Amino acid sequence: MNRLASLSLAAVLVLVSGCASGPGFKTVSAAFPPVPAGSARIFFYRNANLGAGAAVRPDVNLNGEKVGSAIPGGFFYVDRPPGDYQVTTTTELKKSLTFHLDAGQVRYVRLGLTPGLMVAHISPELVETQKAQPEIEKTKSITKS
Amino acid sequence: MAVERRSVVLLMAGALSGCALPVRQVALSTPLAPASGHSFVLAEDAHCSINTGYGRTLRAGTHWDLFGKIDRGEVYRSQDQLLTVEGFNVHEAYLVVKDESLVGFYLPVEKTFTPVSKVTRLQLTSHKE
Repeated sequence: MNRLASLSLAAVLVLVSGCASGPGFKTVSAAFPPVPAGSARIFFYRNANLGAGAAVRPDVNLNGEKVGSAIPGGFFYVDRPPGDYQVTTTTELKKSLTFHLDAGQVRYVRLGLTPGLMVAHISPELVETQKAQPEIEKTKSITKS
Repeated sequence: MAVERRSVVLLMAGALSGCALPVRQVALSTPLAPASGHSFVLAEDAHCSINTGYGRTLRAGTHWDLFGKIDRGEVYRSQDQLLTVEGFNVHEAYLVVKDESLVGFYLPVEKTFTPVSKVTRLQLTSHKE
């Protein structure tokens, strides 16, 4: 019984450690600096999930440059100049998202979990502001790693 | 029966491994020519799909502004509805309209055209110059 309890505790710790633990979006969003003149902002977020796939937390790349990690229940943002962008993640299946960024624009990229044959994948998806806002408000800040 | 079962297993394996079709992209004969000044509002929902089977509904009441012209038609984008087309990858997309019908999508990053599976007549409430 003790062994079962220990295993359960270990499983919970593994799951919890895979989640973002920074301050909540609502807490920190008021302190976000304005989008720099001539630039645009991209928010990346992943909904919380403690089930299968929680351990999958690949790097998130923007035009080939690592900008963060897809951690369950976490968000981060980057400011970039206007232009064409491609988002990829470092899961075994390299699904990409391409979109154009205008000056002053704020865009939201959800890092969704999709089932895979062996392991789950993270697929980036462009989300409308009104749909993204209530989702990202439930996430917590993660620092770039 | 064994062959059927094997087919089902292969299909499921394909689906799980993310073997979606790529979005069919057609090169443009000439690059997009920027344009503006026209706009329209959709009076009714319009349903469309592309070669991958991915379908979208263009929402009634959304406002679309002319963005440019390509050989396939006029390219419109909207502040009211974000559009992407999806296959193996996801691409932002703008509408391509010809004679008030949706003929396909312009992919602004790839600068290519993807046709809709079925040309769809759009019900427009206004179309001004």
